[in-house]
Amino acid sequence: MRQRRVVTALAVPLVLAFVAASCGSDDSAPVVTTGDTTGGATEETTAPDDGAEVTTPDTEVAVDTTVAEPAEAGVYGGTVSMGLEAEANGLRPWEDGCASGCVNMSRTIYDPLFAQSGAGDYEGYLADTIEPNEDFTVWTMTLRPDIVFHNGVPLTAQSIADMFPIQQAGAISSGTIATVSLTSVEAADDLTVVYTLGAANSAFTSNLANVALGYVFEPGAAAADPDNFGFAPVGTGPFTLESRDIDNETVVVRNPDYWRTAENGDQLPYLDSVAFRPIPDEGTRLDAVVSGTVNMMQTLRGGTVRDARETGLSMYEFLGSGTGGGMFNTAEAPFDDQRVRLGLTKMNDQERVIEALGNSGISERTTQWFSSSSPWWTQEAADTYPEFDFEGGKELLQEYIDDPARSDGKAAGEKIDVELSCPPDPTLIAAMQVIEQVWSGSEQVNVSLTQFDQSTHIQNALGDLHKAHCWRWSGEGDPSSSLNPFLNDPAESVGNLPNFFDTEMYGWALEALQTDDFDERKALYSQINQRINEQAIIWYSGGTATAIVADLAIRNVDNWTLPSGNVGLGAPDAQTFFAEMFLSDQ
Amino acid sequence: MPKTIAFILLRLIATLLAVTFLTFAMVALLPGDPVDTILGTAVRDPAVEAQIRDELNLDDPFLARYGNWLGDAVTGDLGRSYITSQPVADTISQRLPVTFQLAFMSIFMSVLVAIPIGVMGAYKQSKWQDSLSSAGVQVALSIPNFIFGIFLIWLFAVQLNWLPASNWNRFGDGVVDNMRTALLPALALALAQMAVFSRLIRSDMIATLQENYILSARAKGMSDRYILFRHALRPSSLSVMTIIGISFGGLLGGTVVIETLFAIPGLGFSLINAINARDILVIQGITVFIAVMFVVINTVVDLLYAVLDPRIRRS
Repeated sequence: MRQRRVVTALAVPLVLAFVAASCGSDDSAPVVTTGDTTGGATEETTAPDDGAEVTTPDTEVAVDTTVAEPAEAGVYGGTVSMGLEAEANGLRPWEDGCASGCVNMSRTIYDPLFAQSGAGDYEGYLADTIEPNEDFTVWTMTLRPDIVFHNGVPLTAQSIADMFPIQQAGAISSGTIATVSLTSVEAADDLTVVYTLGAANSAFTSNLANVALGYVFEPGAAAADPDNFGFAPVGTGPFTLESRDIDNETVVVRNPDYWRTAENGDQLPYLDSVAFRPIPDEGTRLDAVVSGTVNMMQTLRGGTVRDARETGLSMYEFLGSGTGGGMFNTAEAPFDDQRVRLGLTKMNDQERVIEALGNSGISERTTQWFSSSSPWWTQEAADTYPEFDFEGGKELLQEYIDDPARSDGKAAGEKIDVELSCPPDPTLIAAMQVIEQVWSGSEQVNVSLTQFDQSTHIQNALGDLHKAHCWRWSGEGDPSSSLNPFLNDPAESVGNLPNFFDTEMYGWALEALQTDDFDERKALYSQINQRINEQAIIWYSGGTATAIVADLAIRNVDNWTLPSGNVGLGAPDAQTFFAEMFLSDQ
Repeated sequence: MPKTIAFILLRLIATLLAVTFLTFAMVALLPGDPVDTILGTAVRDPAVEAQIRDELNLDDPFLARYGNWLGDAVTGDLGRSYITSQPVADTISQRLPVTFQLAFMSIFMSVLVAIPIGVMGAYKQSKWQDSLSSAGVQVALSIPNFIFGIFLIWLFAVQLNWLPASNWNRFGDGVVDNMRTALLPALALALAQMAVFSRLIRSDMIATLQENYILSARAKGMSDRYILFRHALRPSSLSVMTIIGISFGGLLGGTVVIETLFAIPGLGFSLINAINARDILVIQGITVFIAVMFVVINTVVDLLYAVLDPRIRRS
């Protein structure tokens, strides 16, 4: 009798929990999702409680400058807690590597000098204007007046000049400084800063929108205690750091003296605080926002975007120029032979890989460094990307296999050995298996699949230990920031991961920095993309979709504005600005 | 007694030397360069790269680097993470209470459930109650804790909204809030341990129940409950006590998966992040700390044997 009671005592709560689970879920959130997903273009429309329609930017056309502001007045107060894919290494812009989660955090504390508008160009944020000289080697920037750091120190041109020596010694900023050949930063007067470069760079402004060079910190505080600055950061941003519990929670609270106001005159920011919580597991992060543990999250995975669409929460998707795929290490046989690279690329069915990645209906087929919505995309480059052609690929491989002088040292007629490596993400593994099946199916290739954790995967690429290797490229910034390190001499640039150096192609990349004529630059980048495709250095697996998933009450998630009043770029890489965000009371 | 203490200290020092040396060697053998982790794929300024190498002594021979680290560590300076710039001692002191609480709660929950199940299994040996509990234990053992964790999140966070899906409220933020975040991960960790503990208690209890003094107690007309819990349970707890000690030590560094799943800032989560980032000083600091805790816990378990069993105390 007693034992029966024990069993009953254990069983009853579990049964009750199941019963409650089956009755208690509420999936009836008032969200309407409309999607033209056939061509990768996706439009999400959410209908908040008040019936006002909030339309997120068209995710294929990366930016929609006509996005209407919600006809709802901002509401002061409240906290937004955001689940991040990873903890920020640190909050020192010059020293700590800053990935997507870190950028979100940094934007609450620091303001950038420039930011991208909805049209994709760079507009002043802390900066008011910038003008280059004729050969793009001297850039004169003026700052907005009457801005102060969190510690009360005024932002002046001298602040920017004093940041420079700290940035020069910084692990992260020093790389950008070397890339753009920035030799000096001087204050001409209170608000005028002069940047001098050692080489022409018509896209220099784009660097002033990045964390490494463009996020403004108070140099006096940074110089006084550089090691601990990340735990007591001082910027000009809409929030100040309240607490930083690494790997758990970082809380920022409203900066009452913030310099920006909304268009209607409201003092910004609206929120009392923002809490950032790193939740590395994609499933748990989504569960956390569905269950209300956090009320907003970011994801950089197409599979999670797909799952999040089913939750009834507000989706702020962005499918810009980020693209996934893989690369061949051309310093290693047999990938030093163009026939092998091209043959394997032709045998790679991109549509099936996109499907395996869970990105069907989310991302589209990619043919170049830019998505078809990018202003840099060209049909000429698209036409040169190898179509799926299994037999054509086999022919090329057979030519190499039968070549007595084949570079891998094997005897003519022997199969090619290919090692394909990706991080152990379930969707990447599925994609890798699709590629492996096709390559192996040719009966010309021995494919071995390897998986390393993300860090080792990157280390292998940097250390030239890779063969055929998954990777992600590009982004919304100026093409020069991602392409130039990729094309530079591998002896000088660790960013040239395929180790393919073509002096003519790199010359085009440098030429594109000597003019600000858009059409001229576009033509040069098109030539580069055509050469990359002809040489089959990399293969594409579709664009990389990202999203911010938010509670229905949160407004202004991705339609933030620049000080000029123009709409900003949205939420590329699941990054946004928080000054205008608020919690609706409707 | 002084002899015993000296022996324990010697054992601790030898263990720590071996652990730190092996950890240092294994980290050194990992592919890649810590500088790559810090600088990433960006273009590099050679001067800055050289400065980082110098600061981290990366160009020194392996033994020199280990010697430097050991010299600092014995003075209490475990260094500073080169990824987060946080002192390693702070990293450990912030994370230890989290992992310690998780380990304690999971062990406590496991024991709480394992004792009645184990005792019942022994008392009703070969009857349906024993078969049922054995089947339940098999199921519990065969479910990986992260799968159970995912199920718990789905049930208690997503469907019922009773408990948070992730993250951690520190004890100082309120006991109730803290318990709400600790319950699910502790439960996920407890399942397999509960199964192991109940099996051990059952098998030890079966042997104990055949002892003469148990037969004598029965002959005196004592109730079964009194015999089971007053006379049989204590001597049947030695094996499980050993396992509890080992499990507790193991949990201090072995909660990686659950801490990652629930985004809990414990030692395991920190350790795996440090390994991924090749953050040598953090890896070393946490590993040494776990090793110390292991030795201390095993020593405590040794002492507890004597408390539980008078025969050991006398010998």
